[in-house]
Amino acid sequence: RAGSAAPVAGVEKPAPRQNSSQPIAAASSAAGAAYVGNAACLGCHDAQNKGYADHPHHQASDPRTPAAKQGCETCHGAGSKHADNPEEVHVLNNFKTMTPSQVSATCTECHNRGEHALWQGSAHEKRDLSCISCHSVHSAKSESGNLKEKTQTQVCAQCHRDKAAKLDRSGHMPLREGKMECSTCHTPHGSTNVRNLRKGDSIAEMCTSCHADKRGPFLWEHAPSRDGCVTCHDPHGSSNERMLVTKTPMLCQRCHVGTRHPSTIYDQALINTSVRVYARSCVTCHTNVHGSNHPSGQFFVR
Amino acid sequence: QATSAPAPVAQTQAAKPAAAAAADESAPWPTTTGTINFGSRTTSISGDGARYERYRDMSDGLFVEGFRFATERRGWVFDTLADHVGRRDQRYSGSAVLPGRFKVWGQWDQIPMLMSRTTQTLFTSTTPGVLQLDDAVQASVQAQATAAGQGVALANAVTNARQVELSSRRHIFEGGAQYIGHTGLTLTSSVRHVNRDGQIPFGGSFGHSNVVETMAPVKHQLSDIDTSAEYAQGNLLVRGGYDGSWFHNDVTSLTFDNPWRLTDIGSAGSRGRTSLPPSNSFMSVNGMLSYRLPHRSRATLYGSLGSLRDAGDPLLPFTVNTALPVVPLDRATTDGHASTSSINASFSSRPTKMVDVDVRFRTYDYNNRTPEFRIVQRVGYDNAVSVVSPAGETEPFGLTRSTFDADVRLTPVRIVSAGIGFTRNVEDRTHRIFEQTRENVVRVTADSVTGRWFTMRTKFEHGERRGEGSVSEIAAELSAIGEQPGMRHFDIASRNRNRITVTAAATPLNVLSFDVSAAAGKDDFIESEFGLRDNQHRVYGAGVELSPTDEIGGGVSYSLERYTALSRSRQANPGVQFTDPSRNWATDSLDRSGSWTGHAEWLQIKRKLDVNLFGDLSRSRGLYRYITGPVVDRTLPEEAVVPTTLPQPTQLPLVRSELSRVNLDVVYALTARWGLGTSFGVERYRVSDFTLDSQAISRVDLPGALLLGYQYLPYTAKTFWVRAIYRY
Repeated sequence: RAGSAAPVAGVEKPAPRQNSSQPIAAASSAAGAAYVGNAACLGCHDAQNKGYADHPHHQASDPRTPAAKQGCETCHGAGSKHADNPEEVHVLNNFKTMTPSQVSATCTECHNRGEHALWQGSAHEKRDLSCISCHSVHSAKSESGNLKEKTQTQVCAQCHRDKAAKLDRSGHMPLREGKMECSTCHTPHGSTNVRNLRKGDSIAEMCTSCHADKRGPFLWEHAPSRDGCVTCHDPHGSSNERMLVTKTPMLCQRCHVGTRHPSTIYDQALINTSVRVYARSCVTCHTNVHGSNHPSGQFFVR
Repeated sequence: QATSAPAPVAQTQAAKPAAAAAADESAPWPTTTGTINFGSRTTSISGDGARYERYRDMSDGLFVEGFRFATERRGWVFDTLADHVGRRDQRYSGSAVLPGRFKVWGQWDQIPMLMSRTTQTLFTSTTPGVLQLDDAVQASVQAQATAAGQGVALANAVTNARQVELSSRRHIFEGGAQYIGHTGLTLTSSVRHVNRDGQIPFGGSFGHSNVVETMAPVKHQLSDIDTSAEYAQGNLLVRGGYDGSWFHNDVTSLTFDNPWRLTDIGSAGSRGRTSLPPSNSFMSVNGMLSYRLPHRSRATLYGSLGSLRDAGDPLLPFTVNTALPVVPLDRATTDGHASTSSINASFSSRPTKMVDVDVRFRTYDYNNRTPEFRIVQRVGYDNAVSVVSPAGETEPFGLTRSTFDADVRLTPVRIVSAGIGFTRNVEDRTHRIFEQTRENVVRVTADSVTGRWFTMRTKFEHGERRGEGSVSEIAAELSAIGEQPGMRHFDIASRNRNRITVTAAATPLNVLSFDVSAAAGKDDFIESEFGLRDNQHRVYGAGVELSPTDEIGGGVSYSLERYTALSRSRQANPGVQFTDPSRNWATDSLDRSGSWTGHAEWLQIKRKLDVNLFGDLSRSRGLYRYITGPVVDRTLPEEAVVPTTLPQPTQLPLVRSELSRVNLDVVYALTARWGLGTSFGVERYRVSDFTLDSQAISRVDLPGALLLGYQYLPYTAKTFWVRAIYRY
């Protein structure tokens, strides 16, 4: 991957006309400029080249990469005017000064398949994030995904700091151990599911794609668990056992106010004497709380 | 792949260490790259080592981790990876890519879940799903005439309890292939197979006064196949896919001996038996059509159809108690079947630089076709046959959710945009107190994005959800099952919601950046006399990053979360108490968590030495305060306000937990390829929890219970690594 397919310096080619329906026009280069080739760019921009050399964009054998097209100028625009007068930086597409929509339009000219096809209109796109909010072509720090930070969590925490903080609670999924990432469940580029979820068509379908033992359908259904796992669980982590949003029995008592034990005040006098408080609390007896196939499982006991 | 606490291996990978920098200079266009990281590790732990390890293997000894090897041969790019070789959390993966044309990948990963090494049990198992006690133990307890005597007999028995590790482990194989054709066709197929084995804590009860905690076997297999074909040509993108998922549980029932009885009698069983998760399958087909229209517009239509089925295993009999008569089953199997369908249509347009328009309609249907299962008798806890009158039936829950979203955003000047949006959400359900809920949400956004220097995003949202239905019918339905007629399940209850979020980031200098964020919100369940009445959240965050040079940097961030909730109830037995408002009480809960994260790097010190420091601290507090009588300012207008007749409760102690970590990593570059490194990490957990700490679970034979002794225990762990790093 020595960049052999990159245009040869000095062989100038006229920049093609922008297709008026193509968003990339928003970030067009200066009129009348011509392509000068990578070598002309690299004469000054050595630092940018180091990142580019390790980047998939540099795979010239892939006909969809910049390297197979106009090299640096595929994204930054024809550079002859800048090469003639390096002080004229505005004649190039500088991603740091472009608007988010211009950046996204440039990248999605090629990244227009798979989940990227859902970028326009996605939650992130609608809030003026662009590809370079998370990714870096020239100075990526991550092992994969060309991210601006070392890990996905660090990238997502730029805005979702509260979610990242929850990963450090005692009840958590194996993200901080490196066995999962934010993108295990979410697709930041857009999704046909809610909450940018990667799989399925509902929250429950996403969760049960791994936790299939909770999938059912059961003889006795616990409706809230089918309606949405997040009614009771915080998937990003919590200080409670099993990542519950609050402790049991208080969690169960948010819905179960029935006579006798569901409506008992489990105060300090009972915490060491009532099995409805200590250990697994309500779930000690109501074991199959996600649903039961036991014929007597009406109350998720047997 | 490290996350918030970068493991030393990740630092050597991603931070361009001194050795790597040297190698870069000598070989700027490498065709073979990689690293290997190996050495020895030792850990000293005081306290709960299982919680320290949790999803990883931190045992002592030699390690090989962070193996990466990438090479190019004849246009193909090959990547291999190995982490934690030979450990319980090992992972291996590899891929071969012909760029722009074809790729194939595979991975084998193991994820342990270590819950406890201090749990104890009297149960043994020779057959999966059958837990037995020594007959002598059961006999000695049964022989006692009083509960106190039984307690003494059980206490004597548990002195012989064996210590067991409570853990499970996932073994995950996944692989796939993708072909990208010249014609715009992309074919992708992937498979995944997960074996999970081990055991998890599981409760069992022989009535309200006799409960056991056992270890339920986990022998799960999950096999998934996902395939898709996508065709992109010009402005058109068409995709079709098939997803299949099969879950198989080798052990679908758990039978466990009763510590209090050796022999079956008509009012108590010597064993209990319960169902475990059933095997099932889910298959779906989906299709998507997306077209890029003029004026920077795109229309997308997505649809899917799915089928969820129970595998058809026979239902368990009502009881395993041989002294009870056989109660006939309505049918022999669950016959579980549900169909799903989803449609997602969206239109997004950016006709000018000033205007953004987004419209989306989404509907999801979960149609549960499982036939109702009728019971006229049941056996609770394997103890006794009881008549169900009137006859009961299962309630196969189903739902249809339809959501319409519309957003318009204006960008009058380049750096400022403002938007308004509306959502209409209608949900139809079966077998819930509200069979329909309707919610209208209005949101307003105001953003400012000035490229690299400053960004601010604000959003305010107001939503009103209302449950549709007759109040008297709902009250009758709730009363029939012993619930208060004024109770509303909070996930579907009528609700007013207000939320606001603000995030801002500034980079005043190339070397310095700040960010702050704040969010607040309140859910007010306006018709809920009982159940969750309201909840509020306040979340604040701030961070600063400083990078004076490429080699030196650091940062610190803090977030504070505060959640409050008021939940109301009435302590009542059937009869007059049920309608007595003087027996009302409430839980006013507060969860508060503060998290600090900090890091500092100093790389290429004298071109030889890299130093990385990372630390974080998460401190949580939970307070559950009981209030008897009316709650000032949060009582519904129609509610009777009377003085309490309940005894004053003794308030619960504060729940506390604190997890802190510090990790120092130093790597010295011996040559351009070899480095020597050492790391030192300290992790500390402190906890005080009235349901699960060592005071709450002081022994496994608490009154009326035989437990495993699974506890929240503190720990302090110190791990020291010495490693060599070789870079290809």
